[in-house]
Amino acid sequence: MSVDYKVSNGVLYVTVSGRFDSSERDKFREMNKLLEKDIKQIEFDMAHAEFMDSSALGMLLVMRDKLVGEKSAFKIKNANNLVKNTLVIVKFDEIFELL
Amino acid sequence: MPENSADKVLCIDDEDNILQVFQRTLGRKFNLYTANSGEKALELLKEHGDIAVILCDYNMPAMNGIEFLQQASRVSPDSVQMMLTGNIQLEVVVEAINTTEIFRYIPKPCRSEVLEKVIDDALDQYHLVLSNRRMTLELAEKNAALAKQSYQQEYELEMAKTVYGKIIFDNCLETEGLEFLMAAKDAVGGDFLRTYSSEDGPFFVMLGDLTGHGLQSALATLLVTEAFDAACSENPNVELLAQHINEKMCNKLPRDLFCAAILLKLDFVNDQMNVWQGGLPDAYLLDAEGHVIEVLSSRNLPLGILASRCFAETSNTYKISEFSSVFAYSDGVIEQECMDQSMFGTERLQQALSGCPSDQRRVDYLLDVLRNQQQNIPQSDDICLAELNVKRLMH
Repeated sequence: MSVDYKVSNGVLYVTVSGRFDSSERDKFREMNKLLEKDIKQIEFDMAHAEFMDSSALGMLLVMRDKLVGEKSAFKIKNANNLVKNTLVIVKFDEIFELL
Repeated sequence: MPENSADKVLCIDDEDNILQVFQRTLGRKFNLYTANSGEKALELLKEHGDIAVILCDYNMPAMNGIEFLQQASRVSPDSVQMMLTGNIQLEVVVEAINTTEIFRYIPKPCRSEVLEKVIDDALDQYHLVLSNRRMTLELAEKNAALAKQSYQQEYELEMAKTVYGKIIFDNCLETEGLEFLMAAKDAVGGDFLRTYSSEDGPFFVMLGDLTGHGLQSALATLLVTEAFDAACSENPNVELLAQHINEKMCNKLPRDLFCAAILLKLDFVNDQMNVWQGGLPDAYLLDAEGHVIEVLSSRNLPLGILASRCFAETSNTYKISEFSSVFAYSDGVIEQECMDQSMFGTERLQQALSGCPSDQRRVDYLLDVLRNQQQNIPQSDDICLAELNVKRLMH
């Protein structure tokens, strides 16, 4: 998998491609550090994510925990059916905004 | 130029006018110290402790250059040694090379540019020796830390194996009607199966899939199963049971650890099965031939995510008399990559359930089918399969 991120106007934009698992844990550590500063929103673009495992779900939870705000502050968009299915089985649509 | 112009150079000669010449020439470029005898030079070496280069004359009264350098090695072993001499005698050169740590042997007189060049080389040598020593030390420290860490890891893994091995299904083996298979991907997985029964009371089952591996999941499994046991003794409905485990997990475990689970409560007296499902793939109610009668889909977040969760109205109830068995599994089953590069999926799973020959356990047959599709592709996650035959359990 690969992960890229950038911050613009207080929004953290994350792009994930390939198998979304815990192999890029260091990148997530970096992002979690950023979240301690002035980030108000997170937007994950999953257009190129093929699959998502439970360790990835765990990493999303950790990020969510650091973000203060409503459910809509954490958006996950463009997920393919497989990824969307994984998110819906664990009812993450209740705590993240799936677009 | 040497890396550090503060590097100390010590010149020794019994003739003060030569030392003055050194001071005028070399003293402009180097941090120069002088001594007019070996004895005085040894004192300077002791006093400073960090003389980088020693340049000494051979012919001196009391202590000659070779005797001095031999003693200097003991006082200041890192200093790079050089000797200057006016009358080159072969036996002196041989003795100097064989009995001291000499780096260069320089004939006298010597032009100051040449001398500067030689001292620069000696300083490079000095820094090489120091950095080599530093790196050797660092390497030894790192190796020691790694060895300690790897011992620690092995120890932790052993402990995790013991703990996990004791709890994942230890009380399920004697349960008539409960058939299961567990295949962890690594030594310690995150899937577990737990039952609770009491005399004439209802029967509880939990199949869980915890995130994480190793010590992390072993500890979490321990906590979840203990919470399950404790709560079941109060005879709760599955919503309360789920809520109790959820609270325990939220209070005690790290944020990224959660547990997808199905909780069943079978009350044979009232012909009722109460089901709570959070985060596991669809489980099934099967008829005697293994056909799906009812799908038990996840209606909830997994356990251990939201502490303030309200669990009312999150379960379903079925009549036990209307189905033959409950079949549940962890996502490692349907997400296993197969030879045709697709995932095993629910379609093949359901086919295997109804295609099982009557003389085989369904969990065994299903795993055979899965392994057959998987061939030599490595297992991608923990696999847990469980079928609870309610007719056999009742007796």
